[in-house]
Amino acid sequence: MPFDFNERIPIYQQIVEEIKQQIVTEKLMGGDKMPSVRELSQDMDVNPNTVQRAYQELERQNITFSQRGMGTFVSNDVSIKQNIKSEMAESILLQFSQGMKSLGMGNEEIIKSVTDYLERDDI
Amino acid sequence: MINLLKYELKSRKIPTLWVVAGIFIVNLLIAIRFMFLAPSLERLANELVKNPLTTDPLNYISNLDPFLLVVALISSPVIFVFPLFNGISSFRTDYFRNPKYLVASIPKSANQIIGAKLLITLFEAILVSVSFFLWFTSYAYMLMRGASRQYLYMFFNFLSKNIVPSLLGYTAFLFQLLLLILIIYFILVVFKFIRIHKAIKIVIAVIAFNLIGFIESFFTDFFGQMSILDVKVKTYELVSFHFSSTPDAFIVNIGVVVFYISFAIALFYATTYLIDNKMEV
Amino acid sequence: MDLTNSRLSVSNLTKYYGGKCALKNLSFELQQGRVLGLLGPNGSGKTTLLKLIAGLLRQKSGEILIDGVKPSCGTKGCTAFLSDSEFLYSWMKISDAKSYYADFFTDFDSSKFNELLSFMNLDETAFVKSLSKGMKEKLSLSLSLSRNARLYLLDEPLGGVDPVARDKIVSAIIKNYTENSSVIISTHLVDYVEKLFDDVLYLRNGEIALFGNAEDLREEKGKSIDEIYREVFIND
Repeated sequence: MPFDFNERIPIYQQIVEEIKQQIVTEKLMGGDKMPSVRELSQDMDVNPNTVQRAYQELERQNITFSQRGMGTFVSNDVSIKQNIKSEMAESILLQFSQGMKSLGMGNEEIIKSVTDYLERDDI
Repeated sequence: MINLLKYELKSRKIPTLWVVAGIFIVNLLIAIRFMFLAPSLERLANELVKNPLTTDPLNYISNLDPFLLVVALISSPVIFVFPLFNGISSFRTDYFRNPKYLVASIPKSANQIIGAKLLITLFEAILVSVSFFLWFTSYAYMLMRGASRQYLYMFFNFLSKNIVPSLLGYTAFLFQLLLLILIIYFILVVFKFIRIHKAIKIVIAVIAFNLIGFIESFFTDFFGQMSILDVKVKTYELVSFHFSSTPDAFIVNIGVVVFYISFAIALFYATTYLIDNKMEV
Repeated sequence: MDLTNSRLSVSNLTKYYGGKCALKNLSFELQQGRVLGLLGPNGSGKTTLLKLIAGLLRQKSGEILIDGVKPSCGTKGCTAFLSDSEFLYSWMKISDAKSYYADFFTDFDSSKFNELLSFMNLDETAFVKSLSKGMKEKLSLSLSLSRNARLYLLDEPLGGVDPVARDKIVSAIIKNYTENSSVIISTHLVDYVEKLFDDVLYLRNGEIALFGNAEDLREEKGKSIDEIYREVFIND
């Protein structure tokens, strides 16, 4: 599927984020084989070198590892998934709290509105 | 090289086939006409011998027949004009029209490309001239069919006695055709580098042609006068189905031959050098 | 054989058309396996540069080396130039164009071409004359990409082509990528193809206005390659 990305941010970073997203949502499980650079670049319609750079970054962050002759695999380390999850949660929280605070809400008010929202039946 | 020849043929085969077909059809019509005409011509010939002053040719043949013969003769320049035209046209297509981008990007040298063009032009010239010659001799044969053996013998003897000079003359004709094409190629390429008005280019082209003609005749005279360079070429005649040599000889000046060949080679390499090293697309 | 990874090396390249300077002292390098975006408005010298590399034009001064060799008969055998003008013989059908390429280019892959043809929805028996502009572009691209060239020079591959066809062309270029070949794509439709570029060269009036790695530029400036283009050429 063509990847809809923002051309103002390095594309490889967006690919890294996308992979992280897939790991957190369990579309990609620990130990799964990653598609080859070529496959992914054709899938996403981007330059293979960009995908290569993304893969290198993922390996650098220990999210994936490569086995000679066999390909690249998602890390089996459970803590990796946890870390990604907390990282992503952190940036969502950052945006959220900044947004809520700009509405003039205090900490207590923020917590109450979150609790009320989550208890609603229609979400 | 084979590929270049193949595509040269592919580009040029249609006009060539039309021309050969045209020669075939026109000559077929004339030949059919002549078949009916032959006895009348013989009678006319006999009458002319008997009464040269009072015989009116139009009593024996219709107005159309000399006309057809003249048509056949007038169309003979096609032997020269058609290959010339085709050779120049294919050069202009490959170097000045849209295909120039394609031709400029294939890994073939100008030597090969131009060489292929000249070879195919030569092939076309031979094809057209041989078709022409075959038809013409076939009328002569049909004409003679009604005539006595003596005339037939005279006809073949005439042909055979003049075979060597004829072949040499034919080779010279083909050579001159290719040389003219080379001259035109050279001038066309040189003109790519001169940025002046079209009208002036025409004037320069005319001057260039005259200059080349002058150089040719100068060297022809210069070497022609040196009898030391003359070579006797034996002629043969057909006697009872054998070729035997005659005391006549046909003279060819080696100096002139060498001059022309060198001139052609120099033009060829000058043209291809300019194309490969200086010309832009 | 060239010892560095440099597939293409251009140094101090200058080209004049009559009195007018088209390229001035241009220098840059392209590594093997990389895609270079050659960006600039019409008349900036993009086509001139590509034609010089392809050996169709002669420079006034400076040097072009493809794997250490000057543009010549030899480099033509491994360089695929996609012209933005028509270049096929008027009597040709698509199958004739295929035979021509197969006969003259040893690196031409006929089965790859057949695949690309069906991908582009083109019929081999069609006469080239009868094709629309968009179809002609697709055909030209198919011919060039079916060669396993070391250097592809694609001059405005998306010009005059509808958006659906553009998608196909972009996909075809990506599919065609190998680590062994380098590609230069010149275009002024930047936003559409910027995801293809490894490096970008902004050419203004025959000089390099900006040259760099696409991703690094995005990071540095927080802008897309297209937005940077508008910045660079704001006065043109």
